[in-house]
Amino acid sequence: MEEPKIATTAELPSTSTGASSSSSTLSNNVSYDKIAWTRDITEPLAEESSTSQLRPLGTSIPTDSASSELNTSNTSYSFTGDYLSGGNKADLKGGYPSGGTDTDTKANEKDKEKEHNADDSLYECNICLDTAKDAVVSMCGHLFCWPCLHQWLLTRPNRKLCPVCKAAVDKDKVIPLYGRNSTHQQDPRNKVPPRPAGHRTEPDPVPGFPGFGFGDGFHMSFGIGAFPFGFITSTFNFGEPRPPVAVRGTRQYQYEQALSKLFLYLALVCIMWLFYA
Amino acid sequence: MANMAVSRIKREFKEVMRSEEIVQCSIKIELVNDSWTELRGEIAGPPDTPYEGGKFVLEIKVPETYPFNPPKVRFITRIWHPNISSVTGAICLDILKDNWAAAMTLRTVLLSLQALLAAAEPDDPQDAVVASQFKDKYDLFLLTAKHWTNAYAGGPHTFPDCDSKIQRLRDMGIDEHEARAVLSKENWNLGKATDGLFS
Repeated sequence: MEEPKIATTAELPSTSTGASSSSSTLSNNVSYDKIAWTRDITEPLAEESSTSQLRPLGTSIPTDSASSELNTSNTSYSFTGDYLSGGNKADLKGGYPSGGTDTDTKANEKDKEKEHNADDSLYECNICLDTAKDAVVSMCGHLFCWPCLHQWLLTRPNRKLCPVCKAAVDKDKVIPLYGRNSTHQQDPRNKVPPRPAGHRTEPDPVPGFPGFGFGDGFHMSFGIGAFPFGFITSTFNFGEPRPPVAVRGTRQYQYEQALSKLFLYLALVCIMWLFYA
Repeated sequence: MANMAVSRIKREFKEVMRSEEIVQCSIKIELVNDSWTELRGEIAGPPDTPYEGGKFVLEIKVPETYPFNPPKVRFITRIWHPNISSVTGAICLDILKDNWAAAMTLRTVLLSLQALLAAAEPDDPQDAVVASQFKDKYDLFLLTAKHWTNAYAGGPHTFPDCDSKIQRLRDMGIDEHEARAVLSKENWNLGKATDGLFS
């Protein structure tokens, strides 16, 4: 839909002159045609999808006459073909008594087939030379079926090298590739262990002062020593990113709770000692 | 896995057939039996080497575990080369042994063998006699290699001197191939060759 639009905008000067010259001799329809075109000129980018159609808005012209105008206007243009891709060109040329269209479309189909084959061979496993199933990619960027690569690693347990470039490869250092429809996993072969999982790392925490909020656990620090040094010690704590809070119920959570209680009591003891001293 | 070996060989066969090298007649491959486990390869002797102009036929046996293990390749055409046995045609090439990689194909193997013909490694020999001749008497090595290429691979260079010496031994009832091998080994010294044969 976009390509005819580009063509019409490119050819606009000739169309407007053609329409104006014909408007003097022909009926009102042509002048409406001109109105429609001027609308397209004034707002060519506002509605991308509809600009290729003539819209005689606010007029009472029936749609079939509008479409016939479109056809006549089409015939008056010289589409050079540079603007148009293969399929559209064939469609538009359909009405003309030209001999070259059939061979053109056939050539296009052949080209598409070639491209298709080239696309397929891009995703061939480097071991079985078939399109990769359960695809994994090595750190050096080479694509394999996981069963093939696994078999290769088993064949040489002491020299694990990429079959293509002989870089080091390892089971834990390959990345599985999940296409959009890879949820329908076809039966992974029985002897082959499951494909290694992807390594997903959380993005780095946003740098800067974390704030005094209690949302991610209470954060307290003590500096012991003479005043200025202690001040520095506690000040320097600010920039450090804190590890994420342990999940409630895990062993780490209990450990952290115990630690925080211990430090709380320690702080209380210190404060009490300050009072008495 | 045998299934995988066969399907891969079929693909590789197509690859070789489509390759540029087959257009240039520099490598060729054909089937020996219907099971796709045994093939016959052919490589042209590379230019600017004593093997130029010759066609060397190779026996390729594809193991069940292909492509995880290398194909077994051997020269059927007799050849005088430090890394190829002049008797059995066995090849000493790392990629056909430890350095094999599953991504290598029949095409790359044939091209590697062609490269081996162009760049011998006398320090890692398969045929010690040829290797010592290569190192010590390179001119004689070139002559012998050209003569062998002419005799077995259809090479263009003829050496009437060699032919007459072989004929002398044949007159003594020695087989042509044996006579050529012994003379080559003895640096075309007829006296030493006869001593070696009749001692």
